[in-house]
Amino acid sequence: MNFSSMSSRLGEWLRGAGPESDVVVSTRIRLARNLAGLPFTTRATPQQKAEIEARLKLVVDMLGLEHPLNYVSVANLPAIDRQFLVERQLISRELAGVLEGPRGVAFDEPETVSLMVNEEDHLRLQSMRSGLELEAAWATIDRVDDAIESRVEYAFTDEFGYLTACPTNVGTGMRASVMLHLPALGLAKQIDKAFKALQKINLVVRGLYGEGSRALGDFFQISNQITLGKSEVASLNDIRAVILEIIKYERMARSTLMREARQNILDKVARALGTLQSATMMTSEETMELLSAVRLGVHLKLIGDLSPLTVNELFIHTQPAHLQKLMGEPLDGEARNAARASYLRNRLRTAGSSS
Amino acid sequence: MQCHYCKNPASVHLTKVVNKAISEMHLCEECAREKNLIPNSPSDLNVPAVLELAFGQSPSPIRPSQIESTCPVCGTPYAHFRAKGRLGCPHDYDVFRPLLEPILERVQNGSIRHVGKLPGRHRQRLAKIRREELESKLKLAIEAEDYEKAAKLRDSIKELGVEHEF
Repeated sequence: MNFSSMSSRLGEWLRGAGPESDVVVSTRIRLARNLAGLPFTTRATPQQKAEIEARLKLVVDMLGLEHPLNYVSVANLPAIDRQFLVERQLISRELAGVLEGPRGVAFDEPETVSLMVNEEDHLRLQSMRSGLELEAAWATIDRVDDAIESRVEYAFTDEFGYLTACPTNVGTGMRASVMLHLPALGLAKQIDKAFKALQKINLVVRGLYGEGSRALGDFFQISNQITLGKSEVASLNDIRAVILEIIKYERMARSTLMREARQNILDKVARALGTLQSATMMTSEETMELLSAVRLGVHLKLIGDLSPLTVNELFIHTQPAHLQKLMGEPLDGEARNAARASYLRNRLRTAGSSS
Repeated sequence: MQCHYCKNPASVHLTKVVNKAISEMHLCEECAREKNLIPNSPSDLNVPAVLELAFGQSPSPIRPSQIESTCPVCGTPYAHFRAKGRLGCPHDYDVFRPLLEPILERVQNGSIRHVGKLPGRHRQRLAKIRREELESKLKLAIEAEDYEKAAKLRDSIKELGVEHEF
């Protein structure tokens, strides 16, 4: 697989469009499945893992989906290519670096479906969409799951449902996650208030890429926690109801800011753009914070000539593995920060000049 | 609200209920992480830590012999699950059932029975069982001349033939 040609385009889920895309970046739904009659991955021998991989690879080839899936063996990939797949959210950090032995991922060209093999469960099916698209993501992954299940037998009991390595996934094996961008609630220091309601209904919030207490760039991921005793459709309905509430809060906070602190917001967005256009060294953390402000500016129509798609592109292209692919050479530390700054300067040279 | 350990604002809130006595504890994310209540990578829950909490509150005492048991199919000792938070094979759900049920109740918000999608092969089998059940009820209803009930049952049987849509 040619990852370098992949690096210049984006997965469908990063197209920056779709319903509610001013606040919702993307939707993803994953299902955890295991083959009957074999130990879970972490207790499987290398031979058993090879057998699981061989069986599932065969099934992947027969699925006959609209966009065919290509299988990539992660065990044989150089570290930078693994990191590349993590940045595109096609594989987990665990599959890239923690787990051992035969394992891999199958995904389609538009990057709407990914199937991880020999993750913590034998099979982790995932579908990704741009914007708030829970029904569409569910319809896709449900269909792929049916197609696979007609060719292999899953570990399943009537009582506990789909059996998984970790009891927090047993039952439906479904985790639906919606990624939100909440810069106005962040500025208004209202994030905690907005999320308080979530804990009561068993949804989990976490910052994206964030380490430590603050979510980097005000990106948050909201997912269901419960997988047993609640159907997929009921879980998705609960998540949707909550997400729609949070979207409402964020939009209210945005219009309040525009009404009461317009000059401050203009200044924040202009400074963020200015720094991105002129800095000569840039860490990925700072990039995330500044692009978050730029993204807000784009959606508040304060920056006329920059599309949400371009902003998403910059988010992904400035991640370490993508940056090195685009530059065509391995870079570390300061060289990477200088390359990132130079890339951002070039891409944003003319942005904001017409507003 | 301040963290129990340092002066940072608390964002992790624990509520313990022991013998109807409620005690609360508030921590900042950093201290919670230090106490191993949140994982370092943005992945799933720290299962061993949650299990510890679940065990602290287990309503019925668990016999030592159960805790020392090992799955005869995959050879995974229960202690391995306690330490790693991951089961060895699908049979573990059966073998360790008495130990797992309180954990499931805790991590799954009280529910220990699957509701939702069924694999195709189970769908057919379960639909057949359900259909037979409904048909025998229908027969009884007709015999008892309870036509209102019979009509409802007939509708239910008809619905079984239709796939559930989102």
